[in-house]
Amino acid sequence: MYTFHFDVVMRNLPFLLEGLGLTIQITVVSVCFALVVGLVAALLRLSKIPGVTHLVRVYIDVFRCTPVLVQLVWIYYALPLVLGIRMSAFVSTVLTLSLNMGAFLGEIFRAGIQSIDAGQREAAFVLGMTYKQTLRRIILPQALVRMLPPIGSSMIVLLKESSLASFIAVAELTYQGHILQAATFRPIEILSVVAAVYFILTFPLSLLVQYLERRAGIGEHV
Amino acid sequence: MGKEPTILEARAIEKRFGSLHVLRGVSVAVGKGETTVVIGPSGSGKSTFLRCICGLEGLNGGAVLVEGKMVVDAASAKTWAGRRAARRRFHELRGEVGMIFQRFNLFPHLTALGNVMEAPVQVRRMSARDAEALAREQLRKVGLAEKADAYPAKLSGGEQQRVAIARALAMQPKILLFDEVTSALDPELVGEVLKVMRQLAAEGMTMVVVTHEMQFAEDVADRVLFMDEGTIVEEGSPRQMFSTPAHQRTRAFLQRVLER
Repeated sequence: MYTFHFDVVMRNLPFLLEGLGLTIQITVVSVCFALVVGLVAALLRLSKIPGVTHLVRVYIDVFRCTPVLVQLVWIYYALPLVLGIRMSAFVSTVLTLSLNMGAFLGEIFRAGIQSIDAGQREAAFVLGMTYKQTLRRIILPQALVRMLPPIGSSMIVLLKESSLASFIAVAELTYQGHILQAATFRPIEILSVVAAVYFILTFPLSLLVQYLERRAGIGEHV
Repeated sequence: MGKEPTILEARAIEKRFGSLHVLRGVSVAVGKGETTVVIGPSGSGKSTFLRCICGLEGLNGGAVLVEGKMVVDAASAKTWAGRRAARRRFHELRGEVGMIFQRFNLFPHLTALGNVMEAPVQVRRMSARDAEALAREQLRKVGLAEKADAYPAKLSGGEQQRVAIARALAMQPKILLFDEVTSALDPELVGEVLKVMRQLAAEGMTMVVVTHEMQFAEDVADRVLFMDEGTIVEEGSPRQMFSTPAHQRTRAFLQRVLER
């Protein structure tokens, strides 16, 4: 029978956790960019500017419907060959995750904005508010409350997908795990601990979203 | 009637939704301080007429002028850039043409006070303190001073509609449009909203009111328009319209609504 040897992992825990910092960095930077990309994509898609709507749809469909790993490989290995654009592994990872999650968030934002009753926009318009003011002061505050759960899920997905960076040798959590596996021949123990670390990172995120949702909902229901 | 200078003019407005011809050349001139009540069967184009006046709908023909200045015309609805230009032109009016909606359309994430303050702060760039004073005054005017901190969800329909009126008033509009503002209310709440509207009419606000409240029309209107199938069939003083309507379609409509 297989005997678990977690002591191997525990001894090498500092090495493993060296990757933690990069995992968090990749996630935080990518989430920020993805939120901006998503919002811009949603607004452009709703803009009714001739041509632009279709362009955004192409972007969203391409990034939503192909595997992230393939996108990462494309951006890291193929872009230098095809266009001569060369980026570090870290930048490639952030770019890939931002563009990928941006596509998903674009659709979440669009749905959220469209879910707000047209009467809200009409009331703001008749009061003389500009489109930008209406969006910032009336539509987004209401839409954001509704979009919090899917946005939270997306952030959790992104944190986990940052593990794909190990594929192009970014020394984040999963990559450190791989190295350790090769050295210790204890993949099950190591991967279990790696998974546990991801859980410890994502679970508070999920609680945070729940808390924000409760807080943000106050105006609408009380 | 007719002596006051014209403040709002609709010139031969045409509106189509696809193959549906909703407005067929509607022309109206409203004098300053006048209360014009528009009546007519549902689907006659009354609401669309109001929405065209305040720029919520593009026109297929004709124009809308406020104080002689063109604000909406047919050409601007045709292209994206035209619609944008029209939006900007309308924005320059800055709430001078106010509208009250059937479904209130209050901002649910803001308190009653926040709803009324929003446009003065954002559009007129008023300081928060001045806007709050202005907003409290408007809320007092509609009898809701003590509800300033309540969110819309906590207010009755009648109260919500009065907040909506206060919100429009805070922009010191020259013209107020009322689009069936009591139709979504429970019958016992209609009175409090009509009372505010009567008070506004008495103070000399220029109002265009689409309504099914015939008693209100009879009491308050300076002029009544009867609309049917996208045209103004007949217009006149309330007395004349309700006692001796000239047109067969007007008679038939009044008979139907007054029977109830």
